[in-house]
Amino acid sequence: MFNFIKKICVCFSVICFSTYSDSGKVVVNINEGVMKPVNIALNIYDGTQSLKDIVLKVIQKDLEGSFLFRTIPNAAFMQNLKGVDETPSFALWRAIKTQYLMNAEMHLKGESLQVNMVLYDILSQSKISEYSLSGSVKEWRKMAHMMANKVYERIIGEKGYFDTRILYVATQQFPRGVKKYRLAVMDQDGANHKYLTNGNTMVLTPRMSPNGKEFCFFAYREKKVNGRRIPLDACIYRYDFATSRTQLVARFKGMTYAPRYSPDGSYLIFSLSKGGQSSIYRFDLLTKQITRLTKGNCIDTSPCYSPDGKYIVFNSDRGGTQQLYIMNADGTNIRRLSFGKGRYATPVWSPRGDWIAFTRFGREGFFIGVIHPDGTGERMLASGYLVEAPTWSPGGRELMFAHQDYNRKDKIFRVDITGYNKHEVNTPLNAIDPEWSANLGWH
Amino acid sequence: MKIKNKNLVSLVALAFLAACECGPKEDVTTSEEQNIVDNDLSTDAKDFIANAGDRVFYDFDKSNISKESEATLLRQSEWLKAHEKRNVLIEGHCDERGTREYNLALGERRADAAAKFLADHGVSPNRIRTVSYGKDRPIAATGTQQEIHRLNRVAISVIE
Repeated sequence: MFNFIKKICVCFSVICFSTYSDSGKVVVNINEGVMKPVNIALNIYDGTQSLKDIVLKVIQKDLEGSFLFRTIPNAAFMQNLKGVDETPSFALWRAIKTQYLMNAEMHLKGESLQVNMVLYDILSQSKISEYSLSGSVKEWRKMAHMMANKVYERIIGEKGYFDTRILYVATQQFPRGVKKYRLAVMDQDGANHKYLTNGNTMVLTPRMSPNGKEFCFFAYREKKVNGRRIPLDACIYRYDFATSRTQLVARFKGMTYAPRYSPDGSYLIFSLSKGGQSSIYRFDLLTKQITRLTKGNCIDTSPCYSPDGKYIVFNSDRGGTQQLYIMNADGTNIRRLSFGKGRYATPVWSPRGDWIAFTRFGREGFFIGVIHPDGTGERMLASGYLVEAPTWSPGGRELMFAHQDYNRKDKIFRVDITGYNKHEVNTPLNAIDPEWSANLGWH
Repeated sequence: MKIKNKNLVSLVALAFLAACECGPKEDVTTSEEQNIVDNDLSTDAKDFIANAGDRVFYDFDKSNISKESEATLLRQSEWLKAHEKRNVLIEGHCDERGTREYNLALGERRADAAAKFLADHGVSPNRIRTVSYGKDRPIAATGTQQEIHRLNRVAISVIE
């Protein structure tokens, strides 16, 4: 069932998940116009009753947030399962239209939390997955995400992406045109929101490292003279989560920006602008060696590696207007990718390598779209007054992007690869430049 | 504050080494607000705005200098030649109807075009610094076509 997503992508407008198959996974039918979520019952037996409700809430939000699941309210349950050893009465669960049942138990011993979980396919009356996890009780939220991952993975046939984080830039408008930019991070579901910078420095475009331990971003170092800000330089920095420390990547003559890591985390690629030219460079984080990849009297920016590290997609005006180009990772064999109406920008390769997401804009407005790396299959997923800067969920099931409305309210939105389920992501302040981390994993 | 020349990279073929003397200690994320006050500078900065003008405008997605802009830049070059000790900062800006990273590049291109013009008219390049803010430092605007046009600009100011 690993080609589940593929099927969805091809037939995005006419999809319905329905019923089940012998293997216990979802079968995709391509003959109805609506996407129908899977009914799942989430049961947790908790001897101490202290964590059950909050853990359930996290799992429920994860699964329902994917729009592929609908959870059955606990009040409807006709059987009270007290632990994973108890076998469900399948008829009682079928009676409330359950397709899948997650039956779990939690044991709290001092600071240690043990979770056991069994997943049933109700219609085929079979146990389809078992999972156990133990850790510190402080990690209860992460454990809940791991449980949701497991459910998602077994039923949808793809890795779950609930144990992930979102980096973004929070913006706040003050009187007299002053705007503050702060780096912020939160869990994929909005929990654990935290500001990483104090807003005195203008910061943009945070990009997560492949292992999720650090990120890089673009910032202006400034001083204040007679009350106004004078820039000293504009370049790329790295932030380490473990130590909360920032370090300069390197300072060059000119401005460096639009950074991204290579898939193995050993290089950064970015734009360097000087003398009216912007070219793409590769910087070795270990040896500090820099290599120029593109040249010419044009603007080359927003570079992004393919997941196998062999190619780089970027944005260039070398042909007259902003379009997407692909080149080999060493800068050779540059070829144009986009030929549609308008301008194309901010290309981002999907984690599976099958799509490149982009911003397209022109007379018809602003769009977030996707295109195959061979130039076929282009389609738009979302539009708005101003949308830009897409970022993929690990696995490529969903995208987030920056969305500005007519009143210049900046928010992050989320949309499914099918173009369905576009919705706003809650952030305390305005938000731009979202960046979705890879799966963080259990320890 | 001049651009640190010692931090420049030495170009060898396509590869050059990074300047790493700056080390890992710099932290922009917790930078403090310091305000340097220089009254003479303030007077000269105001004089520059009044007598030379501090804005040069561009067309959408363009960085070429128009006739109207040329007049402003010529006045600025004359002012700078008469005030040898003063240095200027050229900030490149773009309207908001574009993508962030491309606009950073476009702002740089605009700032560079203005800097080259001043240099061609007798102002030493050492006295000119450029920076681009892309679309992220717009002047208060409500989004009418005219105002969007006014966002495509470079702002030139006396800074030291």
